[in-house]
Amino acid sequence: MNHPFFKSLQHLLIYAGAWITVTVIHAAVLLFFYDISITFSLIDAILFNTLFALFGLSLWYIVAHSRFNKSPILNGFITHITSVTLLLLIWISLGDLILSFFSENNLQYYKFHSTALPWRIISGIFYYSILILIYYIINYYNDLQERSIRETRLNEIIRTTELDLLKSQINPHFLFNSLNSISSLTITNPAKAQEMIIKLSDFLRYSISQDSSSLVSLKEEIENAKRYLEIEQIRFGNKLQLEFNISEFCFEKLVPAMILQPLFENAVKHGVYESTEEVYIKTNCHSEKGSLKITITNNFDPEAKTKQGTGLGIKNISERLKLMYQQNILLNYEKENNLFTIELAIPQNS
Amino acid sequence: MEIKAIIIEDEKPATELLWHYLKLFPQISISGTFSDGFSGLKAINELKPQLVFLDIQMPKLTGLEVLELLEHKPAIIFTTAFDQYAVKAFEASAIDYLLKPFSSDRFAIAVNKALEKISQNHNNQPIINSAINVLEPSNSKMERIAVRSGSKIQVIPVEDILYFEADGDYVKMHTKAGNFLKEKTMKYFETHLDSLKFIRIHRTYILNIETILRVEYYDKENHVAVLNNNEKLKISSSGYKLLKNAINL
Repeated sequence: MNHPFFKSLQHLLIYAGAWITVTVIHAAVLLFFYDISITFSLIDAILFNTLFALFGLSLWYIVAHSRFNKSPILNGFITHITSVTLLLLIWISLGDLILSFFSENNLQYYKFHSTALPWRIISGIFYYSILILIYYIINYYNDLQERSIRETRLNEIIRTTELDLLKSQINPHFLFNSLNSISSLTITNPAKAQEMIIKLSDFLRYSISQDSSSLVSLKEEIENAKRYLEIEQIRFGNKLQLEFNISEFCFEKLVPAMILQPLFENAVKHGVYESTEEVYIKTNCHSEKGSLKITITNNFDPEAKTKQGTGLGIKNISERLKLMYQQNILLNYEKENNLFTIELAIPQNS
Repeated sequence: MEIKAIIIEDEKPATELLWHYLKLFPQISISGTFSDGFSGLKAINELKPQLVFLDIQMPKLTGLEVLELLEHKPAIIFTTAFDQYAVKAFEASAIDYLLKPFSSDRFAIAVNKALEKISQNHNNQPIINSAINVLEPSNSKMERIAVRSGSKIQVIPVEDILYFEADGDYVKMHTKAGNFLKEKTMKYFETHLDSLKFIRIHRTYILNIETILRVEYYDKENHVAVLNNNEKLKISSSGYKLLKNAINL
């Protein structure tokens, strides 16, 4: 954690300047209101304020490192009561100890010193509160900045994925091959041709209209993926087999828009396009520890010598989830024998 | 004269469309339809059709790989939704190339062209061969190479190849599993392989840089590359410069 006052010399000078001002006022009060000699006024002011200034620097770590998720008010209260008590104890006893090395023969000062304890406690609590307040403001401001940086990055990624999405939705291979199938069906099976045109139109409309930062119900996402998959089924017939195992409970839940279709496209590309055997794409969903677990499994031909590597599609989805939910590893995949499995975890606690 | 044709296409509606369009050509009889590269290649060699309708994106072998591996070279009409500038280059030099979806009129033009070529006694082979080079998408790098070894067809991922060696009219590809010959030029591989991974270190060698163990002095001025199977390959001075750049020597 970067200490705000050590970030630059300028910040440190501001901190020192503030304490010098406090020291001067402190000394002036002793000099004019308590009639203490200028020497002892200065010694007292410099000693106690320097000590507090040094201890005060360390208070930043209390503010920066204490994130209270559960009952923040109570925990914060306990933390600060403890730390202010400890700080005052150390501050006053260390100050008095050092002070005892100076001569105590100034009667006026000695008189003040013996009554100074409540005065010191009050000023200590006051300084403590001011410092903590400043630290909290700095911390809040840092958080705000960090969040805005994160948001800018998120927007950037969303914009690029939107572009990629557009490109992949209007994946020329898929689109032109589908149009070719329609062209064939207009002759052999006009009713089916019409059905396919409607599916293709609905698929394109959904893909283009979705803002990729928005949330939609899993039901809508699955419906769109089904449109895509059914078009591929018309092209490839029995070679593409589908199985969905999703409960009504899961259907209601919210997921980011256009998060599933690229994964199905990936399964079709590496499974169906490269295989002569039947390819099963199975989709399951269940709820686990406050998040929605969606798994997509497909078999593939292990003999196919193409780069089965995880395409850009999977990487993009993984990145999008990471940025939207601020959590790592929400997408896992594994390749085992002839099965490829992708597992998504979509957090649901918000 | 009856013309024997086959269709190699992995999508059912696309196949049906070809059947339908071919009704206009009663002189063409279809001996079969095949839905992947392997069975298509086998069918061409066994059935020896005069005309083949060949899709490009297919399981097992792509249409282009099928074409490379043919013994018997029929007239070929590609049918695909391939990207466009490659198509233009092809159209200038080949029998024909049908971009999906295509009309019955466009199809008829292609078939008539093919029929004309067939009646002129099969002199279309060199034309098709010259077309292959331009057909491969220029921006994507070669990822695998299909070779014939004996009666078997093998598809070798390029990362499995240790190095390429010039061998007369052929190029010999050395892999851990043995050597394979391909009737191509070194120049062809040099331009189509990923130049960050494969370096022409010598007139006779293109080396996969992943396999380099170390580079040693051969004599005062010349170097040799020692591979991780302890083979040593000579490096020419121009090859050494390329290699130095590639592996930040």
